[in-house]
Amino acid sequence: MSDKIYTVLELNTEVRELIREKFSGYIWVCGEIQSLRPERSKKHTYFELVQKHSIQDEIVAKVKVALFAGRKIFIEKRLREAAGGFELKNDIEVKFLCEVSLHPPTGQYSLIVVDIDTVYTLGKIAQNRLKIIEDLRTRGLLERNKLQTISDAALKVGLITAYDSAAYHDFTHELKISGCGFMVLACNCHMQGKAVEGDVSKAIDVLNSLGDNELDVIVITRGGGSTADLSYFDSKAIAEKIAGSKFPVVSALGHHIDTTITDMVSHTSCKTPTKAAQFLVEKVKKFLDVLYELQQNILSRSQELLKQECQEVEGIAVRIDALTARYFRAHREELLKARHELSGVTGVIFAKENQQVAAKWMELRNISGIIFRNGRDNLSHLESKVSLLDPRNILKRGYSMTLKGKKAIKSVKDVIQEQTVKTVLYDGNFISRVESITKN
Amino acid sequence: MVKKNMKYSEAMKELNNILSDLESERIDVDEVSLKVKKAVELINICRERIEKTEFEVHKIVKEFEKKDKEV
Repeated sequence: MSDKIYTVLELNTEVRELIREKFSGYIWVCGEIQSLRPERSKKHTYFELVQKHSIQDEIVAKVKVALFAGRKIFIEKRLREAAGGFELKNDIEVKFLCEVSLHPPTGQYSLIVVDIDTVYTLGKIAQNRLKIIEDLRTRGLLERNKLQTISDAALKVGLITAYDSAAYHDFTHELKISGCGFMVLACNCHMQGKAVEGDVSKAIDVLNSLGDNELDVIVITRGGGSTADLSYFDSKAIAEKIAGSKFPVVSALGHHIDTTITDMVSHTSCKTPTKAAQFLVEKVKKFLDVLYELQQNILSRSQELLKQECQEVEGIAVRIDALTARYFRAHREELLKARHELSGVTGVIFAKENQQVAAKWMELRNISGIIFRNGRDNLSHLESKVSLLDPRNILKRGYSMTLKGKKAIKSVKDVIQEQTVKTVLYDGNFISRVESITKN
Repeated sequence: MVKKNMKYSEAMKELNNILSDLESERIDVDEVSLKVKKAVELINICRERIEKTEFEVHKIVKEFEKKDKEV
């Protein structure tokens, strides 16, 4: 045991020397990046490298890592050269060439990044990706959403994207100009950065809570932007949600070369938001074309049928016409014959009756003539009788009438001598005195 | 006075009565001229009635024959 008593700083400095001695050159360290905050304003970047349990997802060890500004530019350049827009981010496994160091004032031991093994890092990412794909395939999730059918008229769209983003506008604009009656239910999500996995998974859940008839299709889309964040869509969680979705999912993540796991598990994968919208529009238009064609078919077929029926009916009508004409002609002749016969018979009857009536009529006229003549004759006879009985007419013939007072003297017994009587003649009278009376 | 609207048969009956009265000698001289006058009136009434009836019958006959011709 040494008798030297160290101050903390002395101790830390000594330990640093020991470390430097032990790790005199640079060493390769591999691990998963954690706690990396992409603050571009800061020159230096600090994060942790962790080692996880090979089976469980638990951290078994971690170490602080510093990436100083100068090196950072170098490493970013290396990454760009190696694989497009790839950049450092959390959850990826990397292999850094480091200097092991200790900061005496804090006693904090850390790694200072000097270089990166891009082949290892990208390989690890690809490996990890393959592992996820393999896992999904084994569980039958890779093809599950493809078993769903996108309705021919998928007009009710659940849209997962960043609200008001270029992707959102491109997509909705395309639907709008189609003139079809699309209805979009948008779920606002981060489409880049760490929040992607949680946001998109939650949005899929929310849309799946809708009724079966309330939605036809889910569209997950983002614009072009940086391809750096594309690997967030290699998420196992999102893949599981898509596989479990009761609605078919269309992905359009705005990249042209790579295919993410999200694309792989989706029902249909398009390149851009516009393409996704066009895909839906074309489907609807195709359906409308089919409907139009069907309509035309129905129309022409029904017209044909109607025409046929019309012809048939016309034919029947003509036949009926001819038959009825024939029928009526036959019956008319019969009727005419019957009428003729009837008129013959009735003619005879009526002629006979007419003769009788005429005879009666003549009889009546004769009788009435006779009656009136008789009446007249009778009257003339009576008149002459009256005329004969009229005393004036008798007087005219030379007879006279002698009155005693106002009474006619009919017998000589009614007068005495010297009596004054009045004698009435045709044209007057005279008064005389009875001189003698002679009885017959 | 004789009733203008008396029936023909009544008029004839009365006329015959007057005639039989006149023919019998029972009638008073004073009544003779009245009876004769009445008889003449009755004769005229009957004649008028005959004329009128004949005219009507003639009219009916004419109308009937006209209609019959139309038929």
